[in-house]
Amino acid sequence: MMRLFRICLFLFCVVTLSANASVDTVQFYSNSLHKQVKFVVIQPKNRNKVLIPAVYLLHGYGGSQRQWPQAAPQLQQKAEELNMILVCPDGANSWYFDSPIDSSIRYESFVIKDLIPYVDQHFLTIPDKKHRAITGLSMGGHGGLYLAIRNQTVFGAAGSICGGVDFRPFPNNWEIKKALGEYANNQSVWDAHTVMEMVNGLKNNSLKLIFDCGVDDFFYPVNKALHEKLLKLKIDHDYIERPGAHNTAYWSNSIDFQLLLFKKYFDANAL
Amino acid sequence: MKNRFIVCCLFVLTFFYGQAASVDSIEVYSPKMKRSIKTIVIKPSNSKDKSKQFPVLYLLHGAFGAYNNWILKVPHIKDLADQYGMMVVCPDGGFTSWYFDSPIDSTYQYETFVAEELTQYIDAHYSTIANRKARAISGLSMGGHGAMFLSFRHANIFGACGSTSGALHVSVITQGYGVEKRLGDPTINKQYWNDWSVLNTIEHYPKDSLSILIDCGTEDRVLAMNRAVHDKLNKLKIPHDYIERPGEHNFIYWNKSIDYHFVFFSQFFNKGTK
Repeated sequence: MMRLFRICLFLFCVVTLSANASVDTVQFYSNSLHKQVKFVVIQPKNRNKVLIPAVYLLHGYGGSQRQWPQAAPQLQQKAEELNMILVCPDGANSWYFDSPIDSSIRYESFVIKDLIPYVDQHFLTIPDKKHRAITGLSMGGHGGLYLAIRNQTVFGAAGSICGGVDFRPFPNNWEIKKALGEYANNQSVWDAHTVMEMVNGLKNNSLKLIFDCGVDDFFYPVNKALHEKLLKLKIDHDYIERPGAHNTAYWSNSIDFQLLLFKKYFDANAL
Repeated sequence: MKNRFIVCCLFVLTFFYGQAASVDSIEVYSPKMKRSIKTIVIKPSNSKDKSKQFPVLYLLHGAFGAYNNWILKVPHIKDLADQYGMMVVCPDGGFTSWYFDSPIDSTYQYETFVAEELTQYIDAHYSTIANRKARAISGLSMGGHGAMFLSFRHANIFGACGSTSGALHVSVITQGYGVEKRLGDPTINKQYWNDWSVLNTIEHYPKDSLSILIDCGTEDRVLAMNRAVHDKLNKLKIPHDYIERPGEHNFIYWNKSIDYHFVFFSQFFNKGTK
């Protein structure tokens, strides 16, 4: 009887103590970038070893694969609770472009051609767009929408948190011109690479969209403008504005709402 | 031995996976209205542990609704109560009380009932954390108006409020929704129609700050009222979360929108109880 009690206690402990997802850093070779690149993967326990959805979380300018796990430590608990795999790649300061002028900047190819196939091969992800979403903060918010709009066979849902959804008002900031050239001489290139213009060609309901911004953020006006533009274009989207500025406290709060939206999207497409 | 082991496993599994919130259907006596008001109380599954105390979310129904609207039409609020460890209380709002203390009808005193009598009753009879940092109020349509109206006027009771598809500007709702039955003739009782419309109530921001969440569907006929309140809150520099998303004025929308309210209030409660 005592032994039984111990087994019971042991089971009890296993179930309670292991309630959080695991966090691992993985390094792999990217053919597009010709170098080793790191990403953080947060995996729920998934005891039955079934395939589950994945959300890609992109960091901001000056960040790395570590930015999301550090900014939002609750991600471990969220991954478990929502039963999804979270992938945070290192996007350097690339704006997630394949640069038309610098062949070393091939981060769209990195995400789409290298990272996602690698993740689908090595982790228990459902390898289709209906179970794959992407979002990010600041430069990564731009990245989430930019990559999803350009790769609608890859992602079914996309978000942006304090995203640089129109970076043309900031032509000299954050190394954007390193990838796209000087704005003054390359306006059409900048137009073609900014979410604000790319939505012109977007069809309603081709992507489940969510974006938000703090009202004290320098990106607030462009986010509000994107919301108004999408309303005019009749492209469905969730839009949130709330107290806050361009900082960790805001991102950490916001991601809970975006993951909930992705969860609902995945559930609606349940296998 | 093997059987016992299985029983043991079952016990452990039941403990974790068999949990479900329980629902009480109660009547709460209102001394001010001298009658009892039906109310639903949802207790999270771990509420049997008497030492645990829970934050409380009050959820108000819309015009022509009743106390059981939320639990019948959005049944997964039971799961949300469990998931976030909060109690949920859904009082009856008298069909079209608008949650006012009617100046012309002493049998409609729902402001006093919800903000004072009900909250006191719940704190006395259930294991709640009895302070404003652990008490939030939200609602749909008329209930969204009610939640904001009550929290701005009773910020000592409620620390956070929400409105989903709120009919937030009652002075433009002149016919068909019972406002005139509560507030009387719009010309004679102009003051009430003006002051008790949330669009104007928000001008008096309580010195105890509130956490505020407002959302509305972009195909909803009350969208303009929500935008007006949002703009005014911005002008008044009153911090609030504001969401617009696809959707109409119906339970399809509220079945989704309420999930985000639980995230919002859960974050609010976590701040207060840390």
